[in-house]
Amino acid sequence: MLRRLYPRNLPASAIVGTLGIMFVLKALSGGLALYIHPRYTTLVLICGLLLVVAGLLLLALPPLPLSGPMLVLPAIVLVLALLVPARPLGANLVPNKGLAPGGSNALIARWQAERPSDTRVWTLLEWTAAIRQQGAASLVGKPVSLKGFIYRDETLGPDEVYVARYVVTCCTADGTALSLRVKAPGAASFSTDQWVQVDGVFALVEIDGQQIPRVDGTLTPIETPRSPYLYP
Amino acid sequence: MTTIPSASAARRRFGLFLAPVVLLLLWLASGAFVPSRLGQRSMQLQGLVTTFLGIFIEALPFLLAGVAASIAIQRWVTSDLLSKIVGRSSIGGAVRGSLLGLLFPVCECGAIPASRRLLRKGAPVPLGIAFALAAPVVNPIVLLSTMVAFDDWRWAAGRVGLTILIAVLVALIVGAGIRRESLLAPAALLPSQGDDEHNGEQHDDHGHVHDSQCRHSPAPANSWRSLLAQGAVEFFEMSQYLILGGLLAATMQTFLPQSLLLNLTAEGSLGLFGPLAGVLVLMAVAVLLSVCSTIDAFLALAFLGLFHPGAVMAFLVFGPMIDIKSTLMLTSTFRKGAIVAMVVLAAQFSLLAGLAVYVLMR
Repeated sequence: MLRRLYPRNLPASAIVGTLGIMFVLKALSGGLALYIHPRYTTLVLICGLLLVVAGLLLLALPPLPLSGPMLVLPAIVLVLALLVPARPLGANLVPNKGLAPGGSNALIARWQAERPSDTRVWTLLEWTAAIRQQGAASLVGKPVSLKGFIYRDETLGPDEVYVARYVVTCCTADGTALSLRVKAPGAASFSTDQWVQVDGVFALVEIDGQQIPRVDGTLTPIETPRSPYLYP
Repeated sequence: MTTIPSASAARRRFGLFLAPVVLLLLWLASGAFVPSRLGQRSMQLQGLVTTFLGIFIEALPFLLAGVAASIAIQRWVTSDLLSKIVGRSSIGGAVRGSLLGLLFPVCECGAIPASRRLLRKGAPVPLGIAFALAAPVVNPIVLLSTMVAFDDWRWAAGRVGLTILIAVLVALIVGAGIRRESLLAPAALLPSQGDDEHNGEQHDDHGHVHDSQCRHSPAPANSWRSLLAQGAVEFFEMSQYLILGGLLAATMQTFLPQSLLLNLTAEGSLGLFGPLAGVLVLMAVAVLLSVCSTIDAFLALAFLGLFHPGAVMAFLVFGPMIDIKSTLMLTSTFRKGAIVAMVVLAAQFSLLAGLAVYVLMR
């Protein structure tokens, strides 16, 4: 019996078990917030526990006919999860994943059904929805207080940056970046991807003959939030 | 799954070539001791890994569910029962296959292992093809999420109807009247002795055909161990495709700007080809994104204002049938020729469906 236990299924068992432990730890530590919507936490936790049990059971099985790649690829996943620091989606992907300017109103309507009347608790999600749904003009002068990371493109004026944040419907693969233009003293000194707290007032300014929403106020550097995405 | 010596030698050489590249990328991605000039690259790779892990963590529970469904089929659906339910005819098989997802609510990661198990049990090939293509859409979860996302039953009905139609057509064209051996990968062929011989177990499908014998078998432990072994092999086999596909999709998302594709049609410079280009672009986006069918309806909404409804419908229909990871997974079940035919036909029919919706809704 012992000869059948060892050593053929040991790598497979170790991989499955470690994957399971990784899932459980990520689910319990809140680390999942970097990857997927919190509504899946329980699912991932159950999946992790099942994998741990399966990993142990594998030891009791006769040798499995597994090829090299079948073992190497999951091992690579573990190495990636261990070695590569988890980096929330950031400024470099905004051009790829920015909200399409033309027509995402239906999507936003799904994300955001109702908004509290106090605009100081609004996130970028509420602001984007409000600008799309009720028009930017009705929001001029309202107080703004929100978090995001710095993003830049070539259209910005002096002391201007974009403050952006991703909305994740399901997992990072579907992340969509929302952003607002912000004018603040010393904005140029903030590095791209730095997380900031924006406090100011909503305004409409004319840039190249177009009315563009902008927040005029201040930027304060903050730590990257534990849950960097907005989950509608 | 059985490796021929020459193939494994070639694979080893390939691995030797690949190892330094992988190590270099890993070093860059880890961000440790990376010169600042490469800092940007290092961040890009970290973003790539995060996107990949997002896809992987999201998909793995569903892959496990698919393996569980496959094991349940192995245990409880005997070949006799199967042939009684689905018959052996191509048309009946294809139609029933396209609807089977209502019984086994699996998305693309789960549909393929379950489909292969049905084929091993002797299900007609068109049933296997139609099930693999349609099940990711024709199931209660996706139906619900599409209704919720669009807030309109016509979108859900159109999506499911077109998917069934296309799956049945592709299944019949590819699968009807052709010998199983020329369409199916060895692992999907009857009788399924491959695994069991390797497991050193005497317990093969034959035992399950005669279910009564199975129940009175003197060593019932054999049964769960054999099932578990098969499930484990299937899990490893399918996860390698999930991992490769996820890595590819994450790479494309990181380095190929989606906005580039979207701008192509947004500029309206394409004139008469606009509608066609819209459908083609969203089909390409569907392949590129490789997101799970249970949520893709929410993403599709984002395209609704930018593209005509036909293009969005093509996204909803084609994406779940064919994307990077599912195409890789199909290689576990079908031969290359069959997969190429499935991909090309599914793409053509989805394109036609998209254009038809465009004309009807104009």
